[in-house]
Amino acid sequence: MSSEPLKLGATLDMGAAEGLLLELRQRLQFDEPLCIDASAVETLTMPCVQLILAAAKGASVHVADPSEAFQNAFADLGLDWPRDAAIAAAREAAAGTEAPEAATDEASGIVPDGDPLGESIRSSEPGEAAAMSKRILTIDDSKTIRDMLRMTLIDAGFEVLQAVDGQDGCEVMDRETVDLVITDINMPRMNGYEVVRNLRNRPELRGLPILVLTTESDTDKKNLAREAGATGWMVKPFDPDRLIATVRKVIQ
Amino acid sequence: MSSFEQLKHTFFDECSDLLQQVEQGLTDIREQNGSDDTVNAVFRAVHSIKGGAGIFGFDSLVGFAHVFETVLDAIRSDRLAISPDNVDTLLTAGDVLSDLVTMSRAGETPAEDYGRDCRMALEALMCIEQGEEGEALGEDFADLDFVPVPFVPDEEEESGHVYEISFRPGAELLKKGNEPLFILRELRALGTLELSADAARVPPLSEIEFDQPYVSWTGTLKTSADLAAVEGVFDFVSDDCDLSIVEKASAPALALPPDAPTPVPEVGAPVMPEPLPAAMAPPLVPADAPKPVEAGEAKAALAKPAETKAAPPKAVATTTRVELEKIDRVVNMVGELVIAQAMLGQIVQDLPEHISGRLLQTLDEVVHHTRELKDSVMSMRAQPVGAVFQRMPRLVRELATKTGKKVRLEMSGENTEVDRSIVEQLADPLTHIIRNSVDHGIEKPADRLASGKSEEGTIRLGAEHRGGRIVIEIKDDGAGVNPERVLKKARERGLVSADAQLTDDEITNLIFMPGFSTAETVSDISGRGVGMDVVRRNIQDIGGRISLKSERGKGMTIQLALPLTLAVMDGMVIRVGRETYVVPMSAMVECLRPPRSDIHGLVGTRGMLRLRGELLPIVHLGELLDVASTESDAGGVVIIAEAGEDIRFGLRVDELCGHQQVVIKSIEESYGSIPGIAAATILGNGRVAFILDTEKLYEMAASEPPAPAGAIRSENAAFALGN
Amino acid sequence: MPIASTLKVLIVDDQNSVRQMTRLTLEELGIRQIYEAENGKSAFQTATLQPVDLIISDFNMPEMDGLGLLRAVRGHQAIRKLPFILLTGRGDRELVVKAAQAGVNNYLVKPFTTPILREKIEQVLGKLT
Repeated sequence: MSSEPLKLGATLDMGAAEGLLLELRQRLQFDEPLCIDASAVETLTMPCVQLILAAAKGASVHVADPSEAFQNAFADLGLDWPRDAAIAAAREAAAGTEAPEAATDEASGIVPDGDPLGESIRSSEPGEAAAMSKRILTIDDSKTIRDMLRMTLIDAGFEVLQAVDGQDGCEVMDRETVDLVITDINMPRMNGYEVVRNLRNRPELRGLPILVLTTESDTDKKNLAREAGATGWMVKPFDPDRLIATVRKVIQ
Repeated sequence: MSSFEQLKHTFFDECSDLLQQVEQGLTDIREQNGSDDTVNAVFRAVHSIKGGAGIFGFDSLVGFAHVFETVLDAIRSDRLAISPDNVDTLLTAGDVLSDLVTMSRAGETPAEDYGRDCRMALEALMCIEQGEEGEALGEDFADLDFVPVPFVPDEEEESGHVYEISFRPGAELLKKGNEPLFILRELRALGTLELSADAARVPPLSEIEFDQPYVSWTGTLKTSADLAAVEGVFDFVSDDCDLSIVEKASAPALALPPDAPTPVPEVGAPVMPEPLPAAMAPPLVPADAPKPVEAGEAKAALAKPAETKAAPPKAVATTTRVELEKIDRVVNMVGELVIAQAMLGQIVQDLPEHISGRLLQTLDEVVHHTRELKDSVMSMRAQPVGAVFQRMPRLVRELATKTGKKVRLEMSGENTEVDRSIVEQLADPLTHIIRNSVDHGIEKPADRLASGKSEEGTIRLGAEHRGGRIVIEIKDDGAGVNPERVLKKARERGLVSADAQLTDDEITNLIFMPGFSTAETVSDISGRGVGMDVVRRNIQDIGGRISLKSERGKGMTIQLALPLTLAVMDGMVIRVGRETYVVPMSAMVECLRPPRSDIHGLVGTRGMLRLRGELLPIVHLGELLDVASTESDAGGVVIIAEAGEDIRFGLRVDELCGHQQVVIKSIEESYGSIPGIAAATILGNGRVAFILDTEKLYEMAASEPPAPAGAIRSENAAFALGN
Repeated sequence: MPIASTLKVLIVDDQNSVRQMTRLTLEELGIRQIYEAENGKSAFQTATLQPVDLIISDFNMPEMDGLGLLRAVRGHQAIRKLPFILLTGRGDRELVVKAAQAGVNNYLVKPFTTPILREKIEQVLGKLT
């Protein structure tokens, strides 16, 4: 094994998948065995899991030092991560004779410094604090609802951004990165469906969870929202426990 | 206040109660009134203080409490006996503990050796070694081989359902931001999930598209949740996947023959991860027992009931702490309600008969309910006087020691309740009275023996409800007031003329004069210049009365009579001329329209009334308050009112206008103190009326220049007091 | 793996300040459904009447102490497996031994810090998410 292990970053969600795919393809283009260092992984979801499995289909891949989050994700999905005895042995041997790897400089980035692909990756940058709270953007023209959402979400440990209508929300998304968007449907200037469509049109936001606020009995709205591309819905009026449970359906 | 600060606050509140328990318990033990549980109770209280102190980092408090607790523990486990000496040490320890709490509360760090003597005494009792083990926070007992027991739910016991699930995400699922991992986790949380994933369709890296799903799952879920709940997990993705949820027959726990060693699930899923220990081989529920059916009863920590909605009742005892502000706000609201209701009554009075009839009836009910409401609300503010009483034993102990006397304090009626504000105002006067008792009343042991008394003097402190008031009595068996000395002093200070003839009672009451003190030396204890006159003022300020009886050589009794509540009271509305006033019902004894012949010598503000053989002084309210009366001297109504213990007089007014509940509104802030006026209120007609202070009125009348007619002078003897 | 926000925990201690302290600590771990009881007896009632996932109880309480509560819980058919953590003081060795014999899941020495509480809970229930 000549190349150094591929060190995975902390957040491997859909946003990181595109970058990871390219990286893996690059690494494996010469069919060399690959060691993946998964010690820093904190969030891992299906897209990247699949990529790792796909990598192992065509080459010898070994995941070394999988973090707890990494292990839990695979276990909960009923899958095994790739292990290769030969690579493991070689790694052991190498650890005994070589100086500590310089790879530690790239502590938390998938991509080595200076890589142009670095921009498209939404994983954490070097130096960022490990367990960051997830960021949620709430879009609603009613201040009361905004405040209620904010209180409940902050209590549960999330960071909250707010927007007062669809247009405002889209503008916020122009500059900010969030992990979840919660939007009302009926709003001036730009309504909820339009927000969903707008956001789904942005390639960099693929896989971003978007929840719409609806009232319980409104099946039509739920369907429309789904057709527009919403991830799911949140029922108004909401009680704090149910709100958090719904949020956890789509981000963790 | 941050929650931490709030907690500290709560802790210190608790400490007050706990320290009280310590004091009470140890006193009981000393008096031989203790039971087995008493020591236990004291131990628990000290232990609790220690625990809380540890949490907040009050180290010296923890250290001392620990030693204290150890001794108490030894006593309750019969390793150490109780003797009069130990009890005193323990009592002192209680005092030291209390001081340390006070210091911690004030944020002071006690001196290194604070309470050292006491601590050493405690340690001596136990032959305890100096120096404590210093265990780190929450550190375990390393020498014990304790292994935590993980919780493993019994699968067989889970009543409920088994679902076969197959889930295959569709092309849009990931793009819309849904995530199979979270869905599967949510499913897992419902019960026990056995899952197998099919990753066969994952293409090689060269072909894979990162936003497409390629893995599908099948599995078995054992849960008490119903189908709707399981389906609910897939709510967001039902359109974007192939999903099938099929319920199989319920868990077969009961269908087992009694001798089956390991139950085998019907469905043929993989072997159970945990084989049953042999001891549990027979089914846990006998075949004829009812199946435990209630959904949600399954206690597995991993089983999530479908919807957790209803707020669970807290299993806390029947008391709760409420901020005083909240109660006061309610009190005010009730007050306003009373006023509004009175106004309503007024309006209804003016309506034509056929309308007002039913209204009046209903209004009566409203009045009744409001009265009850008022009583309930006021009782929320009520506190047992014990809150003030509890400081007295220590006070007596310390004073006795300082003055070299032997005094015991007996208390009764600590549970008698009175309004909070009164309790607070009671502390100072009560303290002073008791100080006086120990300092001046109770004689030195030798002197007591010499006069045939027991060596130890007794002070009895009692409280009881009497006639709509609370009466507090402080009775000692000391030397009582020495009339000669008092009279002499009074003459020396020009308070009484040299040749005035005074009864013993009158002499005793001279003590209430400003600046009066018969102490030969001004001791540092009671010689702070706080005389009985200040005490009396304090009591009067809260609407109470104080009286004093003394028997020379035998002892002294002081009685305080205080109103029970302040804000709302029953009053009699009266009229003099064009002015309306309110007389508190609690001060009224009776009303009458005396025949002309019974009234004598009504000159100026004063006169006499013959009532059932007695002569009572009467006061003409109009004259006193400078209000023109509309009734002739012969007419009008006389209200017999109380102006102090055993002092009754008549208050002559023009007319009685009816009685109603009135809300007392203080006018001190706006107008200061008006003689004869206690407070003000708003009547039903919306007008303001003054509430009279009958005792004050009496004094005012008494201090007017005496009437010219000599015949009246002797009859005015009753007025002699006060000046 | 239990989800902290869905976990129902019953705190039992006769001292309000300790209960509140424990509550704050549990809330730091993300636990939201927290019941309280002042003594073993009322705690036992609560545990039999509604679903509780974990009991954290002091030992020293009037009416029914922590050991009494533990035994009562272990002896009651419906809740006999209820996870139970006993709060002990420094120097309470014998208590821990007795508690272990009575079937306690874990013990915790007062005063404790948040990480230690987490550890003790996870030793019994598994990793908190």
